[in-house]
Amino acid sequence: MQKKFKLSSTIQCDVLIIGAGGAGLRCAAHILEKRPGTHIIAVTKVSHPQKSHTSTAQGGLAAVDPKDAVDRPIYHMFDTWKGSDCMADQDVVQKIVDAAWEEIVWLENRGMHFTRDEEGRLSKRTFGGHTVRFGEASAFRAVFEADRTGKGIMDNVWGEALKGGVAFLDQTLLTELLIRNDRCVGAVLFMEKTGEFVAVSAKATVLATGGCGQVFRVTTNCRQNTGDAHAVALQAGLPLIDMEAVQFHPTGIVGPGILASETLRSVGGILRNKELDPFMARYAPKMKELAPRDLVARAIETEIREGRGILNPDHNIEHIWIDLRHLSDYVHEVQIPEVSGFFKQFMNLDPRTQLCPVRPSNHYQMGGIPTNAFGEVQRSPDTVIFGLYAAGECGCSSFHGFNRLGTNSILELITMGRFVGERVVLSMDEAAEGLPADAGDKTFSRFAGYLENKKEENIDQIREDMRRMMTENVGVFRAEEGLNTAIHALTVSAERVRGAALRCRSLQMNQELVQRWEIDNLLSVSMVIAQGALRRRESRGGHARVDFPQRRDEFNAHTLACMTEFGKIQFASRPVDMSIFEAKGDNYEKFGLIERKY
Amino acid sequence: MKESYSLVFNIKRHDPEAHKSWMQTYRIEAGRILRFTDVLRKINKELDPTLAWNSSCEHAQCGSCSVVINGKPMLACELLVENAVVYFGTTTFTIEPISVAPVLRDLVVDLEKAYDRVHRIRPFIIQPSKNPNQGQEYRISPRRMEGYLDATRCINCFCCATACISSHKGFLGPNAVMASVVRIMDPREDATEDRLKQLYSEEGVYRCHTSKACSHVCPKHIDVAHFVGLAKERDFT
Amino acid sequence: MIARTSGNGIDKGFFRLLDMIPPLARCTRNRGLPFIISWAHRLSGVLLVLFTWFHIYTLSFLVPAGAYADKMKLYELPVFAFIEWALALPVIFHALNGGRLTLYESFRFRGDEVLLKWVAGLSILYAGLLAVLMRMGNQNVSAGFFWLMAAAAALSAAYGLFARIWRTPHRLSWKLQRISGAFLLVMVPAHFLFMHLSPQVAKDAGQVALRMQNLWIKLVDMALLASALYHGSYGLISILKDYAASKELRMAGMAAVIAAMMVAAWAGLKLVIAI
Ligand SMILES: Cc1cc2nc3c(=O)[nH]c(=O)nc-3n(C[C@H](O)[C@H](O)[C@H](O)COP(=O)(O)OP(=O)(O)OC[C@H]3O[C@@H](n4cnc5c(N)ncnc54)[C@H](O)[C@@H]3O)c2cc1C
Ligand code: HEM
Ligand code: HEM
Ligand code: SF4
Ligand code: F3S
Ligand code: FES
Repeated sequence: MQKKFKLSSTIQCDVLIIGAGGAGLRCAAHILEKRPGTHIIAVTKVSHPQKSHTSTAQGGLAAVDPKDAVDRPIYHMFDTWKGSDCMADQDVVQKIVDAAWEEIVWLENRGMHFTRDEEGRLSKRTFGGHTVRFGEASAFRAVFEADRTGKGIMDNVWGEALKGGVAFLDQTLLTELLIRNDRCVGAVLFMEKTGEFVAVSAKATVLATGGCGQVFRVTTNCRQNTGDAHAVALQAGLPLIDMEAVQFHPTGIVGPGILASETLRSVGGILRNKELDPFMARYAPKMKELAPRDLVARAIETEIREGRGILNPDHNIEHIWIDLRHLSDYVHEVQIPEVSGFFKQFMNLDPRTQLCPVRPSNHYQMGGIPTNAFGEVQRSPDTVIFGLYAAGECGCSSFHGFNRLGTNSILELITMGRFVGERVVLSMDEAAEGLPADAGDKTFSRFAGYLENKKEENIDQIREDMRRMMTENVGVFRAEEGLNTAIHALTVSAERVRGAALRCRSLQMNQELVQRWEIDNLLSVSMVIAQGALRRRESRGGHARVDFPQRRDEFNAHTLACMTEFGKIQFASRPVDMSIFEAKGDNYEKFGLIERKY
Repeated sequence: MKESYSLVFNIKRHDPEAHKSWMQTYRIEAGRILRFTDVLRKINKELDPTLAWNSSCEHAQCGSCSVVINGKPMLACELLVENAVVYFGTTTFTIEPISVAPVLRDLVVDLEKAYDRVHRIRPFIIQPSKNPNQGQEYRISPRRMEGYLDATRCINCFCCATACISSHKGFLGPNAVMASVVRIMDPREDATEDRLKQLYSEEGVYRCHTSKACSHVCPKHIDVAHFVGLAKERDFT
Repeated sequence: MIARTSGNGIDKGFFRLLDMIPPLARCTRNRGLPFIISWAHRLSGVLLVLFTWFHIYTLSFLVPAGAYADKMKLYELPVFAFIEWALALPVIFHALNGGRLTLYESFRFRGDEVLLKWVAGLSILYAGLLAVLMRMGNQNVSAGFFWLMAAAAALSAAYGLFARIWRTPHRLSWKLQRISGAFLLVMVPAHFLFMHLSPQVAKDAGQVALRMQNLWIKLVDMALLASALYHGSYGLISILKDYAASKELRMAGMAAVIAAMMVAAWAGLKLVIAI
């Protein structure tokens, strides 16, 4: 058995991009435009780059059109800052917002099929939290491609990367980062299809592996979002930042977790509990269903906790109802056809005559692998790892702080992708360093362990239990007791899964093996989230502590967490950048520690 | 309405190391609104963790989970148990991998090989046309886009290619042909002649016999045959 | 998605009948009705090629006169008479459906529901008419006049398509196949009809030989021969290419088809000239 575990080859390249989603491929496209012929390898866990999760984003991406008469970048910056609950880094906010429209033009010029208005210009729509004149009125700021903006972006950056000659490695996993003296020299990959391990030596390594939503039982995230790169970074001794900042969408459709968008509530949908009581009146007497996302999510979660939820027997999960029966046919047909369609397609329900089950679903990870405004990965607030970058949802330069606004995420991944590309291009003339002699050893000992273990355990059950436990204790609501329970449960799960035997002992295309590895990653990420949440004794953005319902200024800093041994975490913090405020320019006072009230 | 169904899944399996293929029967109880991907996951958990299958988004947006169910290529993640029972009139389902690429294990195929054909048509703008508004977006009227917008919804699930009467041996396939047609219709593309040359080659439209199975099975309800037809007509208006 | 059972609403009315036959129902469900029709088109095409070869072989007994009559006696048996009549179905179906496909491909006629109904309706009508004629067996027209009318119609059909597709960048062989198809669309059903006006028209070696002395008829026969063989060869090669991936296999198959067709063409031509 041992002899299976060797590097089957070592590949040389200029740039190794891990994660061929929107962020990764935007970066690749930029590098190839500026420096044609650069040898880039892009790795993806899914069966083809186009299957990456970016393809599922629906709504749109925010960008201030310079031709717009009312909107201004400063308003967008303000909205982002306010939305972040004063945790976004202002240098990053400024940089991304200023670069936004350029990126839209880039995408459009390269063939993205944006929805247009009658004059043939890009159409724009409003989105929650985006305003003009510092909250006075809704801003028309989100450009979009019908209800498939993410797909448009994905198709486009994939096409451009292909055009430039990127070499793709599909169904391949990052298992180990090779870092020596604060310099990343490449990575070890596991190729699922052939069961081979390869080492890649690269002048620059870019992490763009997306989110980690699979930590939770109900999530809008795809099956592959298991926080692999987060865990691999931890193993390499790197910190993660703000992992407790998780966004929950109030109304995910039970089962597939698909978003039942805000529109349902804005056209008059009513949330009801088991007794069919329209409970939002009790939580937000004025705004009711139209209260902000986090408030609604918490209200629903409270109903469920207090026993007024309904248990869906098939998916075995509790939910509440959204009632759309009273809405006119016109509303159903013209205003909410797609979401209505989702209920039909995935629940076999007719929203005109039946109640539809929804519940808060995990949606987005605001934290991640810490980077500066250039996307360079940091070991600490003032040291970077040379040659290692992160962009997209897995990275965190902190554009979103503790709460992300809708349409800001795909904007971030596309701009940060480019910024990383700009940095990488600068470093291309340096020589590559050799790989360490022990490259792969960590991976081999892990995988050998998986295949040799003998203990009877149902691994899928452990995974399911863990995800359910995380949803219950580290989800929408958090409290000291629940978090301690969670941390304990994670330790127990880790113990249970250690030594669990696999039935399929092949290396080649072994789904069971990959899922086994993913559990380790999920456990690590969960542990960091739970402990981060325990430490942060305040409520801020997506992080809601029942026992500390207020935001507290003493926590005005990012959480950095290192975990080289499971469960043992060293915390540090990174100050929040307030450069817009400190520059004392026009309207600077809007960028102080303002209240997040809508 | 039944709450749960006793299902029989006959799944075509393949072990790449033993070079062995066989049919395996699983009997499983499943709730009425579980998707087929949920049932496969249930099989993994309760009966057989070794069964391999592919999925990603699990809400019909990525095209990873295509399989052939009782002879029909479809997305496993949008087929609910209850609907399947009604549609096929049975609780016994035969599930096989799609036929457009070599099987890696069980229901998982090497999609990269299937994608070769999509890569061949160069799914990007080969030669950008002149933009009168340099540094800004091109102006394209919504009416002009209407002609091809439907085709841009394709998620490359290869259900159409699997169903097509032309065995996929020497054919770009309906989805790849359509993707090229989209760029021909896109005013931002200038390399129309290049594209037509490929479409009128041996692997192009000559392999289409207007069997329209593509339009019939497309989970995105795209009239794929229409777009292939446009190429044959060489009239894209 | 599941509510859809067919491509473009052809799951209604008349075509429901097909769903009463389980294997076909399975097929309409999984691939759609046009898919079955495509298979029927393919099978009828191959059948027609085989028939053409056999046909030219039997016709070759016209020279020297005599043996032909013997062969034709066969058709007097009721079974063979029935088979002869039954041949009308693939002939007319392939012709009309070929017409439909051409309308789809080159004239953007996407109303398959309507067209398929026409194909089915006209096919039944044609087969009925033929049966009546065969039973009566006493019709008489002037061959020259009949073929003048038919050829005029066939040429207009061919010209219509020619005008439409000639300027497209399609390759020549494809254009010729479609144009010959349009020509045959009239010619083959007409030929078939003509041969069943009365038993003597086709089965009396003397009458056939006499008719074929006529230069005009010779011309018509040669046009029919050339277009059917060309169209059939292209069809066979096209099917071959769908299944043979390797270049060698394709080349070998093409060579075989072309050789067989050359032999048939030579035999047919010899007859027309020698008679
Ligand atoms: C349903 C839904 C709707 C959304 N709608 C919006 C919206 O309207 N607007 C908005 O701004 N945002 C939206 N978002 C958020 C946004 O889509 C994501 O944050 C974004 O797509 C993440 O992109 P990415 O490039 O970082 O990662 P992804 O697109 O997830 O790509 C990650 C890549 O990394 C690969 N990978 C993962 N792990 C490994 C590994 N171990 N080894 C190798 N490769 C690996 C994956 O295969 C993939 O190729 C939405 C999200 C969801 C779930
Ligand atoms: C009667 C008038 C005819 C018309 C209008 C016609 C039309 C067509 C058309 C349009 C096709 C292309 C189908 C496709 O591949 O998309 C075709 C295919 C074919 N035809 Fe005909 N045809 C006719 C007669 C014949 C005859 C007489 C023969 C035999 C000698 C024949 C043999 C074939 C064959 C073998 C194919 C290939 C079928 C396939 O590719 O699946 N056809 N025909
Ligand atoms: C069973 C029905 C048929 C009969 C009895 C029949 C009879 C004949 C006869 C008697 C001739 C001699 C020429 C003439 O008299 O004009 C002929 C020629 C021909 N027929 Fe038919 N025919 C039949 C069906 C078909 C069909 C279906 C086709 C199409 C594929 C076809 C194709 C031809 C061709 C190509 C010739 C010319 C042969 C040559 O010139 O050598 N026939 N047929
Ligand atoms: S055209 Fe339809 S069936 Fe074909 S690949 Fe695209 S989405 Fe799938
Ligand atoms: S199924 Fe195939 S034959 Fe043509 S119409 Fe569609 S490509
Ligand atoms: S898993 Fe994405 S389409 Fe089915």
